[in-house]
Amino acid sequence: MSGGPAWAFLAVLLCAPAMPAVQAAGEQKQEQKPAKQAATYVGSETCQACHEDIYKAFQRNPHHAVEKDARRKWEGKACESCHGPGSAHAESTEKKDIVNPAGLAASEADRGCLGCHLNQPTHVGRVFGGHGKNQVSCVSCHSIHGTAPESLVARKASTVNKKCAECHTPVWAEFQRPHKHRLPEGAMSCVDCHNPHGSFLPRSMQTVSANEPGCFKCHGDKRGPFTYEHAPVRFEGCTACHQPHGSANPRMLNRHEVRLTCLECHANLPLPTLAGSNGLGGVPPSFHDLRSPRYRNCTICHVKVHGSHVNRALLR
Amino acid sequence: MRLILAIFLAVVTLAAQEPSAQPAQEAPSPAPATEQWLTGNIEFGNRWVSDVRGNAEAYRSVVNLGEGPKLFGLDLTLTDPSRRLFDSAVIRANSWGGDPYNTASVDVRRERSYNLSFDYRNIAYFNSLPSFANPAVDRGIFLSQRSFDIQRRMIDTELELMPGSRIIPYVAFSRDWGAGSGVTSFVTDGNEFAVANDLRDRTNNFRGGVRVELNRFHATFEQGGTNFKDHQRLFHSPGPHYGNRTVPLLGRQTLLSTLEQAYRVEGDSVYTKGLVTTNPASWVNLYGQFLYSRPDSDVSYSQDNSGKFVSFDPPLSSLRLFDSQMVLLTSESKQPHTSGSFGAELRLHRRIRVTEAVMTDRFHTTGSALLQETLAAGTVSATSSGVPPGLEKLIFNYSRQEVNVLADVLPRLTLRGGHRYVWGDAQVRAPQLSQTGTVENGELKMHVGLAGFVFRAAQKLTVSADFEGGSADRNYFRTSLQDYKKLSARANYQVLNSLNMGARFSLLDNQNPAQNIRNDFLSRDNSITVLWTPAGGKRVSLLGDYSRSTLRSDLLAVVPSTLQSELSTYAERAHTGTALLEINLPDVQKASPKLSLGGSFFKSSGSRPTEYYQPIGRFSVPFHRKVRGFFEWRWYRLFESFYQYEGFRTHQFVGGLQLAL
Repeated sequence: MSGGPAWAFLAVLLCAPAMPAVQAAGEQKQEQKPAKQAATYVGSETCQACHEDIYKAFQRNPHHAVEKDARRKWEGKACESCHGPGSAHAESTEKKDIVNPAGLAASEADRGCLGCHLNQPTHVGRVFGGHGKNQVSCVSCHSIHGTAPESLVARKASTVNKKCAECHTPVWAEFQRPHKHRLPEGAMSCVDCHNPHGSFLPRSMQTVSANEPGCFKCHGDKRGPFTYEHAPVRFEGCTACHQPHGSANPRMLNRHEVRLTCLECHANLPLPTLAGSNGLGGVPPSFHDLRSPRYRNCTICHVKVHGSHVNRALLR
Repeated sequence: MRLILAIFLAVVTLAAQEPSAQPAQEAPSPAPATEQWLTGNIEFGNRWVSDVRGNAEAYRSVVNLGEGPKLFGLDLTLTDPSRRLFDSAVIRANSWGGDPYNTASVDVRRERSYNLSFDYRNIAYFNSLPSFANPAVDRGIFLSQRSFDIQRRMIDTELELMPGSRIIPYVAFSRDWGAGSGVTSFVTDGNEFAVANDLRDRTNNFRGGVRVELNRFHATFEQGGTNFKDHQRLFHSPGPHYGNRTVPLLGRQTLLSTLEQAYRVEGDSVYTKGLVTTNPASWVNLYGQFLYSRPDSDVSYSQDNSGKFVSFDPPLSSLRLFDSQMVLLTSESKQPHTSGSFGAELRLHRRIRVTEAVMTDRFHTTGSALLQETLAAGTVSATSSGVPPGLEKLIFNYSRQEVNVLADVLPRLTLRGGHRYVWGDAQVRAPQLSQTGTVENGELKMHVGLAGFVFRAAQKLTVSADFEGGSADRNYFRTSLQDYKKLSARANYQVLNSLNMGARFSLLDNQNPAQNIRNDFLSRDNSITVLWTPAGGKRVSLLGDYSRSTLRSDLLAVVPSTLQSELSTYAERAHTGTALLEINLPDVQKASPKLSLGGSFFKSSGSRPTEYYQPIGRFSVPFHRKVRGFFEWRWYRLFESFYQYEGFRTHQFVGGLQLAL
């Protein structure tokens, strides 16, 4: 680590000991707000009086465990564990007197959920993921009151995909191309490749076998390690050559013909020797006569383009 | 298969009828009489496919749906009122009956006892596009020399004990295996021969661990391992095969008479995973993980071919022309791989949060091989053996550090600013013609600025945007991100109670102005979404989206045949739309017949102009309170103006029943 980032990191660490005091001041300010702050907990049975249908359905909801879980310290107050103390609302029946997590800012809504769920393996990549940074709250994907056994979150592939497509419209559009992963058919879902809670890999990619890119879960024959590696596959991943969602090009390539994909790096031009430049520029040149159809399809000869155990030129 | 399917459907249908045959009050369970033990739905029927017009291989590569009876979907939930064995079991299956993508899953849960999940997938990988890897296409021969027809199956199963308690042990097993055939090329000096290929690979993954979940702390420890096998065989039955070379080489017409090549890769890996999350105080959350894997591969390779060949680099100069070749090779490779990350989320003030994330990813591959090769011409033979020069090595160290500050500057406005620093180094074997030595080193350093905001103007309007801009003075590859800008923006507006509209925009602009590269990449995506549900969607609902994307990439390359520098350009301008219009027709027997119209289209111009249409129409009508009949029509059409021989079109009709249980 060097330069600016190191200073930023150091500053955060130095500020950290002072934070409880700042936090306490903030909380004190909050507490100073009059009247409505004084609401107290009334218990779930009070909620039942008006919200009978939700209360009944909630008996079969996995979150009902909160109602009986002494460990969480919300026994008999499951509703208020998310909605906050309900006495004021019970008296006035006004919406404004009760917390509605769906209407809160994402960070506030998440804080409620993470009160119980933070300490679970799901969230270990939270600070790396786009959803956390882009303020997409838990309730954007999870429904809290659902009654079916798996209603808290979609698990059926087609339902998961539909949910993700609501926001990631341009990505869903890529799946309408002819060469694609089989998501529209329901054979796969977005979460097969991406971890919506965040992962240390770019684009919240899933990992398999601890830290290997998730693509290798299905494409095991490309995993290696190979005696003769093709460096971009390792350094830049599959997306160096492929469009993973969908493409108009065969084999979901980034370019419409194989040779043009290969020529991007094997361009017969070394990386410029800029001051301090240390690029891996010495890629083998593509010295073949590209006018001949035989040489327009590099993978006909370089059959083991993902890596070979036998030949350095990836010929077998 | 069809018989099994028919029997299965009959059994499920009969099973579903049981509750009505058995009066509820006689049920031995204490559950309320109204609670059904089996709920869900089943959809089955028959598909007819009209003759595929155009290229059938392309149809199979892209769509691949066939005719016959099908189980389109099954979604059942069983509840055990006594909760003795399980609370609930969810069984799902999709696309059974010869379709190219079959899935099945079972999830069984019992509160505080166990969660058991099982997932099975069977995916047909068929790809034989005549435009891909086909040197003979100019002569009107439509045979891709890189094609395959593989059936890939995957099983994932996991058993978690005592969910919800403080200590949760779990075990899991996954298996992924594929088998099939294909066409690939056998490469010799100066010629290559398209031959048959048998492919068979399998990966088993075993893992087990324990999660400790306390109120303020969680840790997961997992130990796992994989074993892997990949056996490939290339063969050619006796007979002359002249390959792709049409003219003699060194005065000899090369040909392949027989070939037997076997590629046997076996590998395994052990891995360890440790995850921690904790919130030691109300204002701080900490996250950390340590991940380690050590995959390795052992390979034995044999090759025995006869015919007429030429060697550019023979073991004996007299054997520049030879008639048979035998190769034996063993090789091994290892790749210890360590990753770690640390993250912190600090709530410095009620309105300010800071996130800090640091990660590192390091691996190095080493490989070595031992080769023995024998060439023979008539009675003369020559053998060479030994280790190919140098130890193969690839080293990769990558680290990233990112800090973000999020401030709720107004109750409805959150701003974010941050900085990312990426650094690392790499080492690879230099190419054979390299004049800088046998090893190449590279370094990576990049600073990236981050910014974003989220604005919620009441619940009806949400606007958010994210920007990152980075600059690097060095990079590994010509196409890597160098001086780049990434922008994405989203807006969602609830115009009316019945009308929701959304818009998305994203942009990636990457430049590398270096003299020998001149990489100029620009992609833009714009899309709008409309959800219209007048009167709560009782009669009509419409969900539609339209995307417009453009991509242009220019990169300098020297064309080998002319030795001139030329700009390699790739361009794509695409329109994509999907829509679903649902109309509930007037009621029949208290249930509403429904008409659905929609589908998708994709139309692009540029380097590979393509049109791909998938419209769909579906009419469903209730026969009974719990039985609906449906009829569906689909049309698939692929058209590529530069590769017209690859186009196809076909109609598909489906008729079936949907049972609600």
